[in-house]
Amino acid sequence: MKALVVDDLSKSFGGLQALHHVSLTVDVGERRVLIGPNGAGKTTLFHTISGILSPDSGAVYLFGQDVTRLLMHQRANLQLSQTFQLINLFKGLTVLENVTMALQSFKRLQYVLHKPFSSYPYINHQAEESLKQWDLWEKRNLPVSSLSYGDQRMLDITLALVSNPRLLLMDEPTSGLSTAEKRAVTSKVKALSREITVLFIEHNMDVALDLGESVTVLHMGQVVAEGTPLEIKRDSQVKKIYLGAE
Amino acid sequence: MKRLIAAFAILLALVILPQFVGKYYVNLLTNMLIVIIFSMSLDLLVGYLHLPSLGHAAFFGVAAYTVGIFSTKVMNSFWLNFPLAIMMAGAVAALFGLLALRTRAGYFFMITLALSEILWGIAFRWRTFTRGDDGIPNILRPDLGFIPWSLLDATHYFYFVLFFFVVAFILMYVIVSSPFGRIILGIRENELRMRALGFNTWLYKYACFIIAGLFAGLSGVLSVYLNGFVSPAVLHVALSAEGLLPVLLGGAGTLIGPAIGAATIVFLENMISAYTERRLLFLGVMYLIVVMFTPQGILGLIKKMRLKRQVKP
Repeated sequence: MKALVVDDLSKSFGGLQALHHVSLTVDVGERRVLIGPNGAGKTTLFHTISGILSPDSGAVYLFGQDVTRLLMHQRANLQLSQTFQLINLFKGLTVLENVTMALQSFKRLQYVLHKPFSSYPYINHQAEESLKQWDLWEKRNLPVSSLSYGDQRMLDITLALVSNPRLLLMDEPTSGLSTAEKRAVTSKVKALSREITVLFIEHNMDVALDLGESVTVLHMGQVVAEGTPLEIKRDSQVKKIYLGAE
Repeated sequence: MKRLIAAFAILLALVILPQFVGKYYVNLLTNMLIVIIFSMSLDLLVGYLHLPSLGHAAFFGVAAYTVGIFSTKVMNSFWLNFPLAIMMAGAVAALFGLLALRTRAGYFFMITLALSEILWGIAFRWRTFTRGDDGIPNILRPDLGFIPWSLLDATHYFYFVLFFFVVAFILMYVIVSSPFGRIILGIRENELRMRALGFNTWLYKYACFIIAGLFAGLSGVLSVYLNGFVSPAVLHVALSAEGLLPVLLGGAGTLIGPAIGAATIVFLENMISAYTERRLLFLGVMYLIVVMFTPQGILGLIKKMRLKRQVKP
């Protein structure tokens, strides 16, 4: 079974063809990186996989199940998680509250109206575990808006991971980070369990080729190359796209 | 613990107060409690979801009219009319929610206004059913049967309303502090992320909209029994706006805020009414003052002052 199958997906915004018959297959446990110049359609592809956008044509399968018609939250409940290009947190809440919010979904603590939230202490224990893993436990009571950019990024990833995802989409997880922070994020992503399939977009070539076991290159809404990092580095078409034709 | 003591102190004051003031003020206090319930229910949308509604009077008015029409045309039974009125308010909320929740912010403001104006138009025009602008007079307070006091007495009716006020407050408090309430908060903070986390955010907003409608309906029922009269004014945009003002004045996003705001406004209005008939003008000025000087409301001011005191030891 494949973790993700994208079959002949097309999406246009008005006259702009953002995705043009894109097909993509990702194996279970694979680390796949998606690269391509600005405007290649990488984020659009992510959004059609996660359900923020619905495609004009084509289909998306998650672990063998056709999810093309499913809404975003339904896909999330099939253990599809994502981090966003722009950090996307609950700005007014504290670090701990952010994590418990995410846990509530996973723990099916959703339709309870009659009991106070504080009567579920195990949620906080679980949050503690996750926060310690990502070195955020000391900062648990700070409002998210007072965290550094790097910490916010870490928290963003933590939120995506607490629900025990099978497929994790990461849209530029290291963008805007310092070199040290980048290293921290990449090492944590590398340490993720193999039960989690990771598909990520990355602009930084070093990070992309370091994290990715296989690479898909998107250009003008089309897949132009696919292969191991080494193959991609040597690919003449990819060189042309990135460096321009001579 | 401190809060619990404060709550009991306020409750005690409310229980004792009617014994020392005249009938006029008892009725004013009763009205205050009703306005508070209405404002708190509106705050579930405005403060907890950041969905500014200018049509909240719809649920208040539908419940009021249900009681008015049923008790004068069918039968004046509390046990029939009370649940029916609140259910009607909930049903209207369920219908309006389907339409209104497709929008947000300013558009939500406009569509809730439009929807409630439809009901106002019906109440105004359908004379054979609603008696139009004349309104329905002589709506009698219910005879509960099992308690020895008559609700016709202003003080007794005050206690009747106080009972529902306490129940409504506790229910709303439980809801906003439940897991459901936290999800509502999460949706307010970041709806996209909530969807990405697997929450059906639309459903939560819809549920919250209906809950707010039910409580607004409760305040409508209590109000129509207080006044014994219902007219299209209970569906008017002015009433929706009057519900909004306490929320802004007190502090949106809390239950106590609208309560403080509503109490303040009811009594200020009462003072003003001795001097002028231009009530709405006064409310408009109040609104401006709040928006310009205390956008966080009275609670926001208190918080700010506390912070200042902490900074300067």
